[in-house]
Order: sequence, then structure tokens, then C-alpha cells
Amino acid sequence: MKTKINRIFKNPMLIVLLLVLILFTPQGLYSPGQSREIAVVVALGFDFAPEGYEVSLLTFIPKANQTFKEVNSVVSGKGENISQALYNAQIALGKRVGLSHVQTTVLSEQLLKENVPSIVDYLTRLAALSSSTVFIGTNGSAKELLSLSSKLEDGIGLDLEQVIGFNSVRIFSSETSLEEFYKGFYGRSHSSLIGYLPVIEGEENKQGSIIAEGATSGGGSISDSGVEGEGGNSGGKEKSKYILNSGQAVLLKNGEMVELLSLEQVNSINLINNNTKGQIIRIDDAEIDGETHNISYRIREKSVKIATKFENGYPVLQANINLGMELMEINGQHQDLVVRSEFSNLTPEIISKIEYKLRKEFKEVVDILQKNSADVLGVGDLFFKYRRKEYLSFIKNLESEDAFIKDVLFQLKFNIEPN
Amino acid sequence: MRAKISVRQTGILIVLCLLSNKLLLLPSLMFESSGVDSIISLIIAFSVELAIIPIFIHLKTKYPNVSFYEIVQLHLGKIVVKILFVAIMLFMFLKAILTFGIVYAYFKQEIYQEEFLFLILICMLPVLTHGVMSGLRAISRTMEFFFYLLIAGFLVCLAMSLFTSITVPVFFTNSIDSIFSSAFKYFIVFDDFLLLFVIMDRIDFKKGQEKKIYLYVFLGIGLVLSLFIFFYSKYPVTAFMHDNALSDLLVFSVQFSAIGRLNIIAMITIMLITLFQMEIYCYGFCQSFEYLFPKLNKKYAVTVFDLFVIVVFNLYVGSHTDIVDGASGWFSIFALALGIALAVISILLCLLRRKDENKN
Repeated sequence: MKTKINRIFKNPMLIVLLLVLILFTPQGLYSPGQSREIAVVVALGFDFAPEGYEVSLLTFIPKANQTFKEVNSVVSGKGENISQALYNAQIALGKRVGLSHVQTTVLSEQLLKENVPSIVDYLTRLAALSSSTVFIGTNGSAKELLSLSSKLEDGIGLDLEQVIGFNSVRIFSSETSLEEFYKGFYGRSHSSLIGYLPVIEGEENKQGSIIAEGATSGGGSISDSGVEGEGGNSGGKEKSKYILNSGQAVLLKNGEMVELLSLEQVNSINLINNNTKGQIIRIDDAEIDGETHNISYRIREKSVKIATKFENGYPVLQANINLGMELMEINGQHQDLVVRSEFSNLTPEIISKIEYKLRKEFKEVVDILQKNSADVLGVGDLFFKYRRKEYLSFIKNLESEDAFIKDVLFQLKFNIEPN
Repeated sequence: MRAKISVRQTGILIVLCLLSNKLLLLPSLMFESSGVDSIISLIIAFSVELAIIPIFIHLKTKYPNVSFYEIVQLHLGKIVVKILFVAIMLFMFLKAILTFGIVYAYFKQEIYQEEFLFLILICMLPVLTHGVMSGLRAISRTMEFFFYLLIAGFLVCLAMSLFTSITVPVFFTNSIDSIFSSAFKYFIVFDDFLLLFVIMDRIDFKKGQEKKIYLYVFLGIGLVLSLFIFFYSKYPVTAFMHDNALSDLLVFSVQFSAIGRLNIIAMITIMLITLFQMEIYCYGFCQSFEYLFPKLNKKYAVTVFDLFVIVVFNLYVGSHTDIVDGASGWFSIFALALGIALAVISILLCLLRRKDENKN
């Protein structure tokens, strides 16, 4: 025994180890588990409220069960500012709020039109939210969207980030995250594009996919477990509400919403983006074998080569777009027609109709971008990178660098082939 | 004669010194000053401090078994050497608290949220103390053991960023003034080769082994430059917002959100690197202390170091503001002055040695 004690005193690190064990073990054993003190928040929603702001938290409640079903709850708090609203939400929840697991942040359309940077600033600087957090807008209340999203997960096991992740990859070809918002906001044109998921009422199918439905009570707050920040359920008529993912996006300029872009407009923006494929293009009244049909094609392959130059002192962006089109569907009077491989041969008439349609849609969306000086195409960056001297000399004559896109002439050259 | 460390172990110490204070906060700070051109600022700063390496190698070749303290005392007198080593001791301490402060702020943000200073001091200080008391050979052997793991962790962090959207950074967007001022504004994070002079007599250096030293020097510089390049490629506009560069490289895009918290790789890498760096600076402090007070042994030196750390951190609990204010203020002026003084003194010693040789 004596030798063992001597050995300990000869090794001071053992003494330190013993001290640490003695000091910290009782505290560790008797303190409650962290899940009892801290609520795991997986999504945040921000709305305007009469008092100022309403912050909604979609919290995940760890519960032992055999069904592997996630138990979620929406809790909200109101306050004069974001931090007060968050604080009130914590009180309502009865736990401290841990934001490390927040994957989605939702802003209502009203907030998108007024106050995005200050809210986002709070999230990233003070709340230390990860910059890869999904960042989306919604038409009505963010709280409603969060509530429906929890039902979505219960129903079909799909969560908001997966839906938006799909949009990011397949439609926007850019992430709709806090980082992307900031990239645009602090970039040359101070413009960003973020995802948009509206909540609609009614039972009819709208264009696009209906991906969730849930019953909500008329005027009160919405939650699964009945935990609320303020007020209670006021009775009301039951209405069905749906989250509608129709590929829409919000165009932000200087941190404020200026336009809501449809799926077609977003696809047009991505016409000169090499990474986006798979869009469906429908041509009406195309002639095949003497009969007219409405034909749908899919962009199967795309390669875009962009060149920048100045002509007569004005910036010109030339895009050579090579498209490989795949015939998808023929509508109209075609009872005797069967989709055969020879119909993949594109006639000059069809090619010119596809080209016309693409040019027209691209021009429409460019007009929107030019009207708002919202260069989400990155045209200014391209000219700065490849034609820096001319670019810098050109913008000296402009009221601001943002307005550069207004003077850019887009020249599109198509090469459309069957694939 | 005291036990020596090999050139390989010296090289590993050099790499760890080169990585100190550059993995987390520095990229975003420099981005605020000079944008993506901070990479050029970094090259300028490294070029300036690289000039000390051939001087050190020359001095080491001329004085293979003599400590730097003894050489300076012999040629320049007691007063000069005392002043120099007080400055070196202060420098080692500043580097230690800067390293500790940045990492403390990082872990507070990522994991703990609340104050945990007491906890981290209890965990770290005994390990540092034990390491220093065990001697340079023990700590350098430990670093040698973990070296490849650290490099692997570092490279994994860089490689993971390739799975996200990165763009080639556009250079020369800032003025020459801002590039140069950015190089010297945070000079406290450089002066990485100062430790070599403190442990000069403890390095088992033979002629012809210079290449190995340079290899490790360029490895360390390469790692830091690649971190900056990858970081600015991933965050070409918003780099100033990302205070934890190595960790934020692992922040994934939306479609990978299911993976989550992959920054644990960065955390473990940073934790180990920081521990070793703290040991290096603590050793440097203690060695300088022993030179200044030869009658007091290492126990006293390490106790003084621990007390200073506890006092400083209880007065100035690590927040980014405190650290940045200090680092960009007099710390950097002091580091630059010390670096210049050391280079001048070393050149002088080389010339005096040559004069002695010519006389003989």
C-alpha cells in the first residue's frame, strides 16, 4: 500500500487526474441531462407581430419510442425585437434554446420586403447559426409553414431541407442558404436569389406538387403539443392548408424582396448556367407529318460558352448554348402516332420555335433583372474578371456599380440537336 | 551535455510554429484589410521571416554546441543578452495567450456557449506543465508521434471544401498599400522561427541537413497558404464573417445537411495543434526564464508561466475583440521589432565569428 501511495506521489499527473475526478465526478453525476435543459431547435421562423416580431421555433423533443418517429413541436414568442422574442419563446418552452442544429430559417413575405439583413445579421453574428442553414421565404406566416412542415415529416418522412435541397440542385443551381444570401448581399450587385415555399389554402390541386396538408385552427397559434408562447387556440373553422413547392424564388436587392420569380423565370435565369439541365420545354402547334401537335422536350445535355467583350464602348455578353433535346411527350391529335425514335429528329421549324421560346423567356427575365439592377447572373463579376480595365472605366460613368447590368447586351447563339 | 532533438523533430516544431495563430481568425482579419490579396500579404510576411533561416543555419554551423544565450553574452555582453531574452520571454508568453485566447473563443462558440475558462485551464495547464517538465525531447517526440495525424486532419478539412461550391479568387483588387499594411498589421502571428534560437544548443544539426529544415519550413508555409487559398475560394465575398477558417471550410452545402457537425474533424485537429503549440511556447518561456534566472530551475519557471496565464485570462477572458485589439496593436509592433533585432544581432554574431576565425 505504501509503495502504491509513493508511486502516486512520484507521478504528479496521477494526482491531477485524481483531483479532476474528485472535483468533477459528483457534479457530472448529479446534474440533469442536457436535453432537459436545452431544447434542440431544428428550424426558425420569423414574422412581424403587433408587438414587433414573432419568432417560432420548431423543436425536436428527444423521446424514447419504438416507432423511430420524431416528435416535433412549434413554439413561438413575441417581442419588440428578435432577441426579446427569442427570449420569450425560451420562457414558453421552459428550456434554453440551442441553435446549433437549426437547419432551416423561414422569413414571412412581409419581413422579406422590409428587414432581411438585420434579422439575418442577428442569426449569424449573435446566434452563431451555421451559414449553410437553408434560408427561405413564405407567403403567409413562417410559423404556419413550420407547423405544416412538421406534419409533412410525420406524413411522408420528407423534411423542408430535403425539398429545398432538391430545388437548390435541380432548379436554382445555387444553394438557398444564409451564405448565398450574404454572398449576394455583399457582392458586386447586392442581389440574391432564395427559395420560396408558399402555404396555400383549399383542397384543389394547384400547378406544381402539393406536398403537405394539415388542419389548422382559425386564428391562434399552431402546434402539435399545445405549447405556446402567447395566447391559446381560439376556435375557428377548420381549413386545409398545403405547402406548395412550385420552384419559385425570391429576388432580393439590397436585402429587400423586389420580385417573386416563377419556376419558368428561374429556369430562364439558369439558361446560361452549365449546371442546370432537365427543364421541360413545350412547343405548341408544331407540325409533324402534316398534323399539328403540342410537343414537350427535355434539355438532356447542355454546354454553355460565355464570352465577354465591349463593342462601341458597351458591354456585350455572348453565350453559345449547345442543347441536346430529348423528346418527352406529344399531345394533341395523335391517336395514330406512336413515339418513335425518328421523332427525335428536330425539324427546322421545331428548332426555331424552341429557340424563339427560350430567347423570349430569357429576355423577359433579363428585363426584370435590369429593371431592378439585380445581377444574379454574375455578369458584373464576369466582366470584372475578364475585362477589368474596360469594366472599371465603364462603371465610372454609371450612377452605381449595380446599374452595370442595365447596359449589358446579351447575345445568345443556340445550337439545338436531338439527344 | 543536454539531450538533443533530431532535425526531423526540429522540422516538426517549425511546422507547428508556422501553423500557430493562422488557422482560425487570421484569414478573416486579413480579408477585412486586403481582401483576397491577403494571400500576397501572407507571402510577403513569410518572405520577410524566412530571411532568418539561413542566418540561423549559419550560426548553428559555427556554434554547434553552444546556446544562443551564451553566444550573445560572449560577444555583446550581459546587459544586451538579458534585455533580448526578457523580450523573447515576453514574446513567447504573448504567443501563448494569443493561441489560447483564439482557440478558447472558438470552442466557446462551437461547443460550450457558456464560460468554461476554469474547465479548460484545469485540463490544459497540468498537461503543459508536465510536458515542459519532461523536457524538449519528450514533447518533440510526442509531436512526432501525432504529426501525420495532424497533417491528415488538416488536409481532410481542406479536401472537404472541394465538395462545395468554390470559385477561383480574383487577385489584385486592392491597393499595394493595403497589401503591405495587412502583412505587418498582424505580425505577432509570424516570427515563427524565434524558438529555434532559444533551443539552438538542443538541436542535433549536422552539415548537409539544411535541406531538411527548408523542407519543413516550406511544408508549413504551403499548408498555411493552401488554407488561405481554399478559404478564399469558398468564401470570396463573405470571408470576413467566418472567424474560424479551418472549421468553416467543413461547413457543407444544403444538400449535405444530413451529415452535419463534420467540423468535429477540425475541432480535434485544432485541439491537438493548440496543445502542442502551447507546449512549445511554454517551453520557450521557461527556457528563457532559466537563462535569465539560472539559480531558479524549471519548476519555478513553469509555475510563473501558469500563474501569468491564470491571472491574464481571469482579467481578459478570451473574446475576439480583446484578442484582435491586442494582436493588431502593440503586439505586432513588438514582434516586428524583436524579429528585426534578432536578425541584426544574429548577423552581427556571424560577422564577429568570421572575424574571430580570420584572426585565428
